[in-house]
Parts: sequence; C-alpha cells; structure tokens
Amino acid sequence: MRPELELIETIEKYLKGEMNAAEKTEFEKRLQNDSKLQKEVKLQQDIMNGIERTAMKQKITKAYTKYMSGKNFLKWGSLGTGIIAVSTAVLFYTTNHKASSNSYMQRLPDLNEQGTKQWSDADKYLPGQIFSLNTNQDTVIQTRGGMVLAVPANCFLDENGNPVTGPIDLEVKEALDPASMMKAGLSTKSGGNLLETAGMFYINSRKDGKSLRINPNNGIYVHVPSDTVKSGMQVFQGKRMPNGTIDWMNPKPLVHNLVPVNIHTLNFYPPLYLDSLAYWGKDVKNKKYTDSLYYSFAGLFGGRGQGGRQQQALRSDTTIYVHYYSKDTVASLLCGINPAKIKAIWSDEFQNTIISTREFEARMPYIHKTENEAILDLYVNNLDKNLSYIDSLAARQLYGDLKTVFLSFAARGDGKIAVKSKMMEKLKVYYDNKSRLFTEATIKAQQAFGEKQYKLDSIAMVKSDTDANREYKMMGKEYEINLKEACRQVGDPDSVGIPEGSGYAVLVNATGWNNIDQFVWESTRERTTLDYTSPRNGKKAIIRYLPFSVSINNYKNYDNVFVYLLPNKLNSFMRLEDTNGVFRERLDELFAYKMECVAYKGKHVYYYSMDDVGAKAYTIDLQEISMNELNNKLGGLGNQSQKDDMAKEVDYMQFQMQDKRRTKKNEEREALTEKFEKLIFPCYGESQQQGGGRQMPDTYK
Amino acid sequence: MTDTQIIELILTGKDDKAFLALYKYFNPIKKMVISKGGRPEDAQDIYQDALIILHKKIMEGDFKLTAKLSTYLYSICRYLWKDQLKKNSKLQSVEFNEEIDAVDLNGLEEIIEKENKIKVAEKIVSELGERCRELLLLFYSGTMKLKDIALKMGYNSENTAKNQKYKCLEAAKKKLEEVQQD
Repeated sequence: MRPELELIETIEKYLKGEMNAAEKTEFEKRLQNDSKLQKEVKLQQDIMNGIERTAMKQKITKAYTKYMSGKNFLKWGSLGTGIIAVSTAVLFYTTNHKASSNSYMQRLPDLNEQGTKQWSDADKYLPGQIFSLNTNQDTVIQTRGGMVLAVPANCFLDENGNPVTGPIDLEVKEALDPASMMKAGLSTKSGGNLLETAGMFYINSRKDGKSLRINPNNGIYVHVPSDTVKSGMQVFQGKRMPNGTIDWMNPKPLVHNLVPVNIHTLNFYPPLYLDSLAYWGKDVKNKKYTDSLYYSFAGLFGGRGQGGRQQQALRSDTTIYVHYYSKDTVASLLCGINPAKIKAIWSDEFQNTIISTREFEARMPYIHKTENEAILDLYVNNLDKNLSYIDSLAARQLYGDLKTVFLSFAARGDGKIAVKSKMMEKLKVYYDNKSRLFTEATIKAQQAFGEKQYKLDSIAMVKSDTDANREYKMMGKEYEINLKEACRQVGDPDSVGIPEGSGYAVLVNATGWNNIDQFVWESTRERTTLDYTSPRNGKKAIIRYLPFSVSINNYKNYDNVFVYLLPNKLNSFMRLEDTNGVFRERLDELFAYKMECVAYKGKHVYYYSMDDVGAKAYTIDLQEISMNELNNKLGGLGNQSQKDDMAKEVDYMQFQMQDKRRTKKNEEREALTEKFEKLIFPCYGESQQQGGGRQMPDTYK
Repeated sequence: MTDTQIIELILTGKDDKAFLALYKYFNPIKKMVISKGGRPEDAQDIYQDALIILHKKIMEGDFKLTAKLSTYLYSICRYLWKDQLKKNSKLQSVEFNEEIDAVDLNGLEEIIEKENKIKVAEKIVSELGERCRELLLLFYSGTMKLKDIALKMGYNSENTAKNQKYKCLEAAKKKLEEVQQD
C-alpha cells in the first residue's frame, strides 16, 4: 500500500477506536506535535461524519418513498398530461382482455384485444388487477408489483376511434420476477434468441366488455421498478403463438422521457461553487447574490468576440488598468464555460425544455469540468433531440474520464421534451444574443469601473509623488548642512564644492575628494551617525543621529495618526513611519525639532504639539480640536515654505485616508476575484504555463 | 405507534421503521414551511435535518421526552426554517409567533452549526463516483463483513476492496480540503 493510504488506515483505526492502548498513546503523542497530521485527522473525521450523514439521509429518503407509496392512488394533478419515465427495461406485451381474478386459471372473455380467440398460457395463469377509473381525469395507478402507470385523461378510443368518456376498467397483469414468469409459462425468447428481462406486463382496458384502444397521441406511461438500470434494454411486443407461448418481437429502444421542472430550482453553477460559498460564510440561499457574483465573471470571456481585443489593447497601454482585471485574464480566456452562457440558459425562456430538467442538471457539473463551451452548445442547439443522443455527441469530443462519464449518461437513455421546432429556432437565437450581450455589458461595466479606478490611482500617484519629492528635497538640504559641518570639523571647508540647487544625485554618484561627500550622503540617507576620519590630516568629523520615539496613548481608537517633525533649519518637515502606534526617527544633532501630531477618527480631529523635542521616548495623549483650529495651528508653524507644505500635507493626508479605504476595497475585490476564478475556472493557473490546457485530459483529474 | 416505541426503535437500530413512523408528522410541518415562504423541497430538507438531529440526540442518550415527538420535531423545524430565513435577509419579514416553545431547544444552535459543516462533507461524499460512495457506505454502515462487501462489489480480494476504500477516502479528503481552503 502507498504510504498515504497507510496513513489513512492508521487514522481510521484511531477514529474508530480500534487501536490498543499503546498504539493510541503513541499516536496521540505524534498528533500533538504534528499539525499536518492533525489536519489529516480532522479532514478524515469530517468525511466520516459526511458518510454517516449520507447513510442516514438514504434511510430517511427510503422511509419517505415508502411512506408516500403507501398512498396508492395519487392524483396526476397539476403536471397534467405529463410523463412518467419507463426507467428500466421491460418486455411489453400488448394483448388485451379482461379476466376476473379467480383461482390460478383465469376466466377469459371470448375475444382478445385484436378480436381473435387466441389466448396464451400467460393470459390464463396470470391474475389480473382491475382498476376502475374515470377517463375524464388524469390518474396514477400503482400495481401490486410496484409498477406505476400514469394514465392521462381521454387516453382511450373506442373501436371507431372516438374518445371514450366516463368510467372504464383498466386491467393489468404483471410478471416482474422470474417466479411469476415461470408460473405463467412465459419465456424470454425472441425468435431463436434468449432475452434478458426486467419484467413483462400486459395492459388492456374495456368499457362495457369491449376492448378499447390507447390514443397514440396520449399514451400511458409505465414505470417498472428495478434495482439496477441496465443500458441497451428495449421494449418488445408480445405475439401469442399457437402453442400457448408468447414470442417477443419489434424491439424498440426505451426512452426515458423527461419531466420539466421550474428552471430556477435547478443548479447550473460550477461544482463546488455553492459549497465553497457556504464554507466562506456567504449567503448561498440568496440566488440574486450568488448569481451576480458568478455572472460578473462573464467579462473575462470577451476574448472570443471584439470586446476581448479591446481589453487586451488596454492591457498593453496602461499597466494600472490591468490591475483591476485578473492578472491572468488572457489565461482565463482559454478555459471554462462563460457564465454569460449559463445566464442565458438559466432563464424562463428555457422552461419546459431539456435544459429545465433534473437530468440536465445532473450533467451540468461535468459540462463545467469539460471547460469546453462547445459541449454546452451541443445541448442548447439540440433541444429537440434526446438527451442521450446529445450525450453521445459530447462523448465523441471528449477524452478519458469525462468521455466515460458522458458515455454512461448516454447509456441512461434519457429522452426529450417535445419542443416545437419554430420555438427551438427562437431559443437558439435568444441564447446566442443573450450571452453575447451580457458578456459585452459585463466588460463595459468592468471597464468603466477600471477607468474610474485608474483616474483615482493617477491622482493618488501625483499626490504621493509630491510627498516623495518633498521628502527627497528635504533630505538633500539636510545633507548639505551635514556636509558643511563635516568639512568644518575636518578643517577643510573649501575642499568640497557644494553646488547649489538640486545637484545631489551628481554628488552621490561621484567619488569626490576623499569621499567625504559620499560618507555624509550615506549617513544622511540612512540617518546613522557619521564618524569620519580624514585620511589627509587624521582629523575626525562626527555628526550624531540620536534615536527618538513617541507612542500615542489609545492609538487603537483612531482611524489614522500622523506624526511630523519640523527641523528648525530646514524649510520642510518629515513624516514619521507608524509601527503600531510607535513612531520612531533618528534626530540629526545639528537641528532642533518640533513635533506635531494629528489624528483622525471619523469626523473628529485630534492634535498634539511639542517644541524642541529631544532624543527620548515620549508617550503622549492627543486632544480633540476642530478642523479650523487645526488649520490655524498648522498654519502658524515655521516659515512660509513649511506652511505651504504643511497645508498640502493636510490635504494629502485626508485624501490618503479616503483613498486607503478605496484601495483596500480594491485589494479585497481582487483577492475575491482570484479566489473565485480558481473555483469557477479550474484550469486557472495551470493554463498560464500551458497556454490553455483545455484539450489536455489530465487537467480534469 | 407511541413515541416511546419510536425511540425504542431508534435505540435498537431499526431506523427505517422509526423514520417511516415519524413521517406521519411531516404534513403539518410542510404546511408550516410553505406558509412561511418555503417550497415543498425546503420542507423536505428541513424535515430530514430535523430527523437527523432527533436521531443524534436519541443516540447520544441525552434525549428526554418532555413533549410529544411531533411537537418536538415541529419546534426544531420551525427553528431551522427561521434560522434559514434569517440567513436569507430578503425573507426576514416573515412573522413567527412564539406559540409553542415548551420544547427544550437548548444547544440546538451548536448542533445546527455542526450539522452544516457535516453537510459539506456529505455533499462531497455524494459527489464521489457511484462505486466509491457505495463502498464507503457499506464499510461504515457496519452491517456487512469485509468479505461480503468485496464479494458484492466484485473485488478479487478483501485487500483490494480495502485498498480501494482508502483510495476513495483519500479522494474525498482531497476534495474536502479544496472546499475548505480559504
């Protein structure tokens, strides 16, 4: 056995309490330290619970079926002249006649259903069950053997072909098990060949002793009970032979006719979609929600029409725009069923077609697994065909496991629902249009959203650019002052020329005289103490950077907190980085600093200010003030340049706060999208490397 | 059949008979669910859930018959349906008058939550291949010997059957893990 299977065996032993004490102690010890094992045990326990529940459900369902079948006569009711499936193989034996049930030899009328006097042994030995029913209404009958007959209203014709009204007698004889077949002298021969049988039955109806015919347009549907459904079963007609036996002829394939149900009660989502939603705590009963979430992925499928090219063009033009689509849009285009196509069929227009049946619903998960829209199209474009026929068409296009699945669907012999061909054409057109329109609309909506986000992103970028510029400028100024001081300390103030303006980059990269500039730049950039010895005269230059920090009391109560330091010699200020309520910085000993704190909570503003802070750890409480007061306080700070910058900064902060919410939402949206893409389009991720793995049977495993 | 007899049936493992007897209480519950905006299928689901809960409670031995079983089931179903409507916000306006809560529904919330998790696993089991499902069900129902299971399912040996069962379990676990992954 594979080691994985051995592990499963061990876990099972543990869960079922089949370990001895020593094994158990040993296993539990292992379990304590091994989180992977814990997970495996938990999963297996869950599955075992699931199995238990499945078994329980089966029992309950059985009980329910039994409970319902205890009621013998059911009204056909609202289903009208509906359909009951012949879900199994039968040997159908049309002969007619009426017999009063009486000992083992039945009394037979003079004439059989064909008006002749020929009777078989079976006619003589099988007891008849006679049901009196009213032909004006639909009736469902269950026989002693468990056959169910659905007899629609007005389904009998008299000898002249006129509908029969009023009460009639329906007689059923059944031989569903070998014992009753043998007792009745029935054989399973067709010509010279032996047949495998799932049961034989006889139906005839009479009114006032005269045989009636079944209206061919309005047939009786018969459901024969069977434990197993075998493929290839057919219906044979019985012919009485002179020697008293019945020969079986004219085989016809069985068709399991379909019962349409309300299409909105069916589930066409990809497999695991609802389960995963439920697991993630989403409201799966709210179809509006689950639909909109699912259908929103239709936009990914634009690539099949013009919309997609547009989308791809946008991708190459602007990098940010793509951000709002899946990063793997192109890959996704290549796999899966477009949700817009599902939306098109999951609608009232497809009520009462093969699409609105439990049988089609059962195929849907596998259609999703094929990731091939052509398979779905087969069903939609052949609404007038038997499901089993379409299954076989689908199987032809598939490989491996999925081929087997569709072949076994085909073997079920599921039939169709009559749809008028004109109606069919209309439906096809509807399907094509609807899914195209919806895909386009989804793309449009996403593009609009993407454009808007792009604009907002640009604004945010400009603002943050300004902010970064300010910081960079400030660093340059600080560098200038540091360098001057360092040069002074090594006693060579003239040795390094300091260009005016924005020449820092040049200075940084140039290996200037003795590299003092480089050292100073590094020290300024990293905000670490400069300890430089001039190789020329051995003199030292030291500029210290000293640690400073401030903690905000009740930090968690605020939405946002900003802390600034304003150095006295510079025309700018620095914003400190927030590490969970503690703001740290290293102070240049050449400057005196002023600290300003601003915090926001909803519409409330809080403020704190301190002049001349030292290299210490502070803890402060913020005070609430009005926005006006804040503007005044900040406006009164430092020199004009600092004032202007500060005003810009306040504006930026406020913008950023709002933008944070927006970007966070976008991030969440993206994460969710990715999660669902994996779910809805199983080849997601794989096809990235393969460039579309649809034809690869391995992807389904 | 009296309530005590039904409980006795469950305790002695005759679930089929017990469930059949319990279905006679289904109709009023179906009416209740439909009158509160449910479909017949919802009623069926709810009733199945309630039966499973009842069964579990009885098997765990902490079930005291303080009210008639019919009342008990009705109360559970009402609770379950209310719970479901709550999750489905658009139907929140449906009114439940708090008539009969003579029944002890303590701890029900916890049970329901547990059951909801099990339902996910159940779904996965039900979506396994037919053979896998049958094999697992036969194994864990505990009514058949390994030898007979192998024979019934057409496996050459007990070992093959066992091995196959573990493979099925493995597949189910993998699927469940997929669903649970966040």
